[in-house]
Amino acid sequence: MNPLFSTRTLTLMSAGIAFNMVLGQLASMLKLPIFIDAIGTFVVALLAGPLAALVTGLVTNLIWGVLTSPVAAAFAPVAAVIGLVAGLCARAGGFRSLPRVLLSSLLVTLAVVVVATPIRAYLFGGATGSGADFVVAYMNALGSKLLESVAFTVFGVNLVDKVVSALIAWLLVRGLPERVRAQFPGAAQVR
Amino acid sequence: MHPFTGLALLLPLGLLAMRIDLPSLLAVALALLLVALGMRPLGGARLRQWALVLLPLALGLTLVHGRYLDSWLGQVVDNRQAALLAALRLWLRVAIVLAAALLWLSSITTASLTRALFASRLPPGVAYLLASPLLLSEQLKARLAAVSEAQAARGVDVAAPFFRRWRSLLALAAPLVVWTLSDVGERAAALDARAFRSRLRRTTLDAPQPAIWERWLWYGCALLALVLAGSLLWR
Amino acid sequence: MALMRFSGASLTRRGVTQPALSGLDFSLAPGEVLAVLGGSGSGKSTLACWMAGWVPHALPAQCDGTAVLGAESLAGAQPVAWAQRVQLVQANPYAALTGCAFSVAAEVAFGPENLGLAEAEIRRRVAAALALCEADALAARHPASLSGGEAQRVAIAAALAMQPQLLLLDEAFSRLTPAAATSLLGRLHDLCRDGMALVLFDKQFDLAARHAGRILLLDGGRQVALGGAVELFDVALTQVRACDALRAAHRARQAGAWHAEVSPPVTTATVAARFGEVLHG
Repeated sequence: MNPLFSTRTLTLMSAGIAFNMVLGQLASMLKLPIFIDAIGTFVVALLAGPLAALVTGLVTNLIWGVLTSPVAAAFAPVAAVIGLVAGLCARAGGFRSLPRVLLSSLLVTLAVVVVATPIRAYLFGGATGSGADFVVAYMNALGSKLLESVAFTVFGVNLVDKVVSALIAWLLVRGLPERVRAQFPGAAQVR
Repeated sequence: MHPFTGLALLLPLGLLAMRIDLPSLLAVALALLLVALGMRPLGGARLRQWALVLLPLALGLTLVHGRYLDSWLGQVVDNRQAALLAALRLWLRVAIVLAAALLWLSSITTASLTRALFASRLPPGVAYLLASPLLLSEQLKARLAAVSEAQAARGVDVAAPFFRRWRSLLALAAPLVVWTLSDVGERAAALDARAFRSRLRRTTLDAPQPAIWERWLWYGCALLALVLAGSLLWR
Repeated sequence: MALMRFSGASLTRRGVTQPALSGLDFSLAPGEVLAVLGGSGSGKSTLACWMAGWVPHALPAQCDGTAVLGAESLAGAQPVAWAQRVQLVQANPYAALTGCAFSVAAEVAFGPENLGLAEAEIRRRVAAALALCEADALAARHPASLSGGEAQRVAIAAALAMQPQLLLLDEAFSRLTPAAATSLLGRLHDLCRDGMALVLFDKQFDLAARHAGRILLLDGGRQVALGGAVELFDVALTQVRACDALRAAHRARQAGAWHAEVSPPVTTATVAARFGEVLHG
């Protein structure tokens, strides 16, 4: 019997989910204007690849959906896509230098826009209870269609957030001791 | 009560909230749930948690659907009433689901939920993935408190200027992440050494046993959820 | 038939050319107690992991020569497949905690639960393992709240609950008092009478001499000697720790002041008698 994930990948995913749950809290403790609720997903993507990261994001939001807000559960596909795209970028060497990391986070953001915009626009009518709602309302008022306003807002908010998350995850993985990095096959792609 | 019973009720309740259009009925349901939640132990804290999500959502929905910025920019908005009513319905639905979820959470402990997950028909790996982050994040929060105390002693100030706070974020996160990731290999070895996932079915001691009526309730809820989902799609 | 056999075996960690272990030649019978002695960096822990079946999956390395458990090569199966037959307890007891249990009793029960055993059998195993390690009083405690010594008792109990054929203890008593370690080892000896083999990895000569039938001496990853405590006394004491009384006897032997017909003292219990024999001819 060969399971889908090795036990080590399984424990890594559990750590990634816990990072997602705890580090966002740290950002709000420091009063930083970002969610960074995907750093754990990025770390798993860098160390164990797209599939493990996809599951990490998905499970994070499902747990959150029950613990803190049903809104998070509705956005579970978004969290999954972040993991998938970040993992594919890492496989392709997208975390080997600073410019590549920035490019990878741009790709992740674009994927987020594609998946998050319909959820936000159709399921929630554009508002999710964050400061970004103001931007949606403002753009709407200036005459944009709702879908356009939402897509623009999602892009703007997520670009900052995903660049910061990807950079933090990259710095963290690069800073790992060699003894720890050697345990994960994906770490060789990160420099 | 078995931890899954509340969860089983949650699904048809959410679908029912989607099916009902009458705001007054939804509001009554929400009021009942909130009163029940307030009467639970730590009810105040749970109500506050509920409000922390739902009040910003109410503001955002009002702003976007009510198109108040349009009026402010001097445009004429028609159908504001209808748009706000739709927003109110959406808000009530989300509010009901969260209140019900919090009510369920107030009736279980992490320990009983973990045992129920491990005893369920889910593969042990899936049960582990759902249960262990809860345990680990509790440990990490305790660890974070300790680290932030240590950093504060070394002069990392949470009220520092903006850019210094960014550096504090890394200074606080790095030890936590390195510490946890160094343990990942050992955790895996410990699970392997106890033959974790070596059999498809594992025994679980002291697993919460559902009563006969609870089993029937689960099946009833599943059936009801199916019917409701069907009627939602058919509409 | 031997339970475990190493013959001309060596191990090289991935990415390194120098072997971490070499020249291993020994076999282990069911019920035997073997001590593996060596200083820091002598390769004890690597050997322990190898014997536990962690190579090459959990510890990436290249193995040469023969290393078998029963009839199977140790490198053949995933670590999880060995769990029922071999159990390793390492010096850091917290590493053995699974993080899925809310009480010590649940922690110890986790392994047998995974084997899908009947509930009554699991409860019997947990009770027996906790009693043997004198950890019954800890049963209701949360595993994360244990002190080092308590966690070591629980780690050993969790390993015993799997009822292994071979128990590997890699400095697993380091945080227990010497008296507690001695009484625990005494009770483990009873299990060996029922056929469980025990391997103690340690730096301390007296502990090995007292509890093990044979000693394997490691130095820089090479097997230097294998034999009884008396036989190995002179060579072992140049490399590993021992109490002052044994050290004194060793000095005397090195300086030629020892009586040729008197064997060296290998435990504190025999020190006085041996010194007496030397003094009075």
